[in-house]
Amino acid sequence: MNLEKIMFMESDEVNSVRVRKLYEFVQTNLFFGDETLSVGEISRSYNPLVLFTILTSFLNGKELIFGDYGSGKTTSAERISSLIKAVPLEFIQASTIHGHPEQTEEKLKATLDLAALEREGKEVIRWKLLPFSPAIIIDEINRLPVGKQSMILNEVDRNIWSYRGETLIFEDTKPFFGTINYQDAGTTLLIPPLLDRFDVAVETTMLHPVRKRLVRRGVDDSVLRDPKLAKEMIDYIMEMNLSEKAGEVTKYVEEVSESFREVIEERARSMGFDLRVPGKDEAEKIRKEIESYPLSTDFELLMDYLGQEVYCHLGINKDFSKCNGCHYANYICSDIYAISNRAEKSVTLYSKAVAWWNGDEEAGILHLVTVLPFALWHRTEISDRKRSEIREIEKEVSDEFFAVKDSLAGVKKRWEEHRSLQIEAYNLLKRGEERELEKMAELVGHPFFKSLLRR
Amino acid sequence: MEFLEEILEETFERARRKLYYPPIERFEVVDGMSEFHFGRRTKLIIGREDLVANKKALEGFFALNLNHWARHPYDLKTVLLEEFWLKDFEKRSEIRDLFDDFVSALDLIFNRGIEEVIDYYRHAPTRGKQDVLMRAYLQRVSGERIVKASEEIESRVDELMKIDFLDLRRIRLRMNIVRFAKVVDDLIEGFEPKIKVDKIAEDDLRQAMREAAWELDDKEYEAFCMFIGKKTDTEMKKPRKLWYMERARKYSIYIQPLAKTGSIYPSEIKEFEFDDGIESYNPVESYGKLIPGIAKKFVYEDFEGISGGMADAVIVMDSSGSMTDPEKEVSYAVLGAFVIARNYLENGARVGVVNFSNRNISLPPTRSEIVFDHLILYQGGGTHLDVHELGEYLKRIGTQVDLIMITDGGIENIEEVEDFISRLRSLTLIWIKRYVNGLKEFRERIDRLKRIRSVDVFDVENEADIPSMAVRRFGDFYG
Repeated sequence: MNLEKIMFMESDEVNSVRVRKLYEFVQTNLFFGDETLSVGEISRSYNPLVLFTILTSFLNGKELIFGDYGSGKTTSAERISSLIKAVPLEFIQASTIHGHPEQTEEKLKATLDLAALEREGKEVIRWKLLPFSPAIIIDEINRLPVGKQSMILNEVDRNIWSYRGETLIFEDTKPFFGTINYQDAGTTLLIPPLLDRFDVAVETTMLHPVRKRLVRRGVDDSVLRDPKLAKEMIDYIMEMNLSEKAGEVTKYVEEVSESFREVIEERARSMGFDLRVPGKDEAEKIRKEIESYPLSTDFELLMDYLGQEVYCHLGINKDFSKCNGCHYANYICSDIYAISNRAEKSVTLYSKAVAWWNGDEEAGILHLVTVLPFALWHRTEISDRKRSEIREIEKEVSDEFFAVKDSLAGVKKRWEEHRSLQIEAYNLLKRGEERELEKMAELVGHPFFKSLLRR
Repeated sequence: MEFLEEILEETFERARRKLYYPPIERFEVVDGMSEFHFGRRTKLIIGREDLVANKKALEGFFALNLNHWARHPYDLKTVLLEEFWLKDFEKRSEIRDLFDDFVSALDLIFNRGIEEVIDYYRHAPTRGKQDVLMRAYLQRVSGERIVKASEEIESRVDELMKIDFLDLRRIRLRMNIVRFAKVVDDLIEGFEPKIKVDKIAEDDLRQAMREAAWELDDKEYEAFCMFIGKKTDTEMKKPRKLWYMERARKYSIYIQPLAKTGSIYPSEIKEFEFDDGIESYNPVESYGKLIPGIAKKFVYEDFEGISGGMADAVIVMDSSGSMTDPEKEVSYAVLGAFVIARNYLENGARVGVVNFSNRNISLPPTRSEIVFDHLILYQGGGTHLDVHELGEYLKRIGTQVDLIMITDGGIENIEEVEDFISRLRSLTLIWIKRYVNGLKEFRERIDRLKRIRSVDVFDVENEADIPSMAVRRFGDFYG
């Protein structure tokens, strides 16, 4: 972290250090999970769920949380949102949507004021809590009808909410968390276009026996609680939930957040933690800081390489049955289905975030390799062959996550071998030496090099 | 021992580096002969006998084998095609293996500058006359001293010099390997090929055989399947059907979506207008009244991207005597029908078939491969479509299906058919006009059907017309 960057910040503490302290606080007090994710070679490990949920909160991203019943999927999202957005936990819990097939737009988003309709014949729209909540959490999103999933994702994407011709437009976007059980009866599959909207997906981790014991005893989340304030907030919003008053409501929520932030910090201090929860403007600065983080050349090179290796080389319509005996069967194209443009964007943003988190100068290979499986495993189909290869291997994550991570490790190894050739190939392309490039593509035979010949 | 392993490891990596790191990352030394397998997690299997006590030679040996993946034969399909092209030679596998080594070695020397392969041939044991020939040939083309060859061998080398081994275009490859076989056939003795077709995994073999359909015509493909099937335990039943199925994979056709997704939901409430269907009326939002400006309706929209929106299809297939017999030559009717069926089946829909000539042979909608059997079935009789039976068939199905008829137009009971079709809401008619274009009677019958408003007609004269076919959807059978 250079001096200029530090000087630029308003506080005397580097933002990433402040946010890492929030992580420590969550991990030791609010949500326990094994710290299985290493970022970089020498640095320490983190609980991936807590790390990515905190990053998603700051980036206003979208995260899918997988886990079994009662493993803390919703709890983690609610507690972390309450802490980062500095609103009482009860308020976040009240605005959490529970997925079930009977959910309707009226129950989720807004409804007509029936009294006004009856008395005055006027259509008055009353918005629900959801549009005003600083974080959107949908519990068991796969139990929600697909149309509703789509509607909410679209509206959260832009933070523009519409109902019966009235529209609420908010300046800022907000984070979105969907929790999901592994498939069972009563759940519907999330369709690929919807899965693709989630930047990252994390799983609840296995628990160390000591942590398990702590969970058994019960986690004290009173540091985030204030039922009275939450009730006041809900009452205020329910009274002021007209479109023309949306600005006032937003301002009110921000003001509550400003004051409740101090309450949380004070409570944390009494527990021996020096926390500084970033306010709205500071959070915005953090987001911009992350977005403007530089990418290393190697980051771009590996992404270029991976992007080409994943295509099916026997035709644009991928079909894993074609992989039998195929010349390219040893590449990632025979393991996973595709990497969408949205996925590449998520990978880039979250890699920057992880580099920022770690206090590194730029987002490089280590950050990319850390983020890639989390950004891809939920959105890509995995071939049966790959699944069967890894099914029997001991692991602490799901088969799907492991399969994607394992395939990506293979790509990285190949890329390391081809890296210098890749740079040479780009130089040839830059100089317009097409014949040389063609020759190189033929000799190397890897899809990336062949792709450079495409017009 | 450890030292030897280190040397092998280091030499293997050096060879990989020189070949720009092919994705074959491991090797295993075995007591038997060297082998090469295409497929996932490929590793080189190196027979202990092939390990030569010279580092450069060893590197050449690794490179030679790695180049089987990188350059030639490149994939399993090529191996099978080479075996097939050599079907008249008893020692075809050995010849093919030797030929592949020739190509691989020459590519290493001339395209990649990896001359260690010459060292390999200098140090490797000579097991038969074919090995002497190989060395003599390499000696001639490289100018390096490798072997002392007899006059007879040298004269064979003269013949081999006429072959351009590095021209790997399919048509040249086929000629080259046959010419090569004629030169080396009687020299082959005492060696095991590295790639043994009968040892290839069933799934890999099947897929490679399927892919070969793209490169062979229908008759050749049939012969190919029979030949490879005999040689291995993999019997490809009905190769002609398989050929059509593989060819059909080349084409996607447009199927007009009934809905983007297959399920709709009330997305919006709008003013009810008097020409709207009463089923869209929303009594709750309209206060139970039907007054202009107050009455409301639901507007339905698709769920984003849900699959399952495909209706089932029924293909009414003319297999009368005027149509091409798919067993004798390429039938574009069958190919077109396979393309349509495949597009529906791959999207999770079911396909039914009514194959008609003198009688209707009907198959209810199914996702089974049996659909293709009914489509390729050739009755070869008159052209009479039993419309009563077809109507009963559609009634039995009960649900809405997409109806596609494929015919050359020679329908004898055209009045009945015309009457039946005019009562349908929509029909996609594929007119196979290759052989009947000039026949006035056939054209007139098709023109009669074309005049029906609900009929979309696509003309197919040759294979290039197949991708232009499209299937229009309809809501109900009858308008």
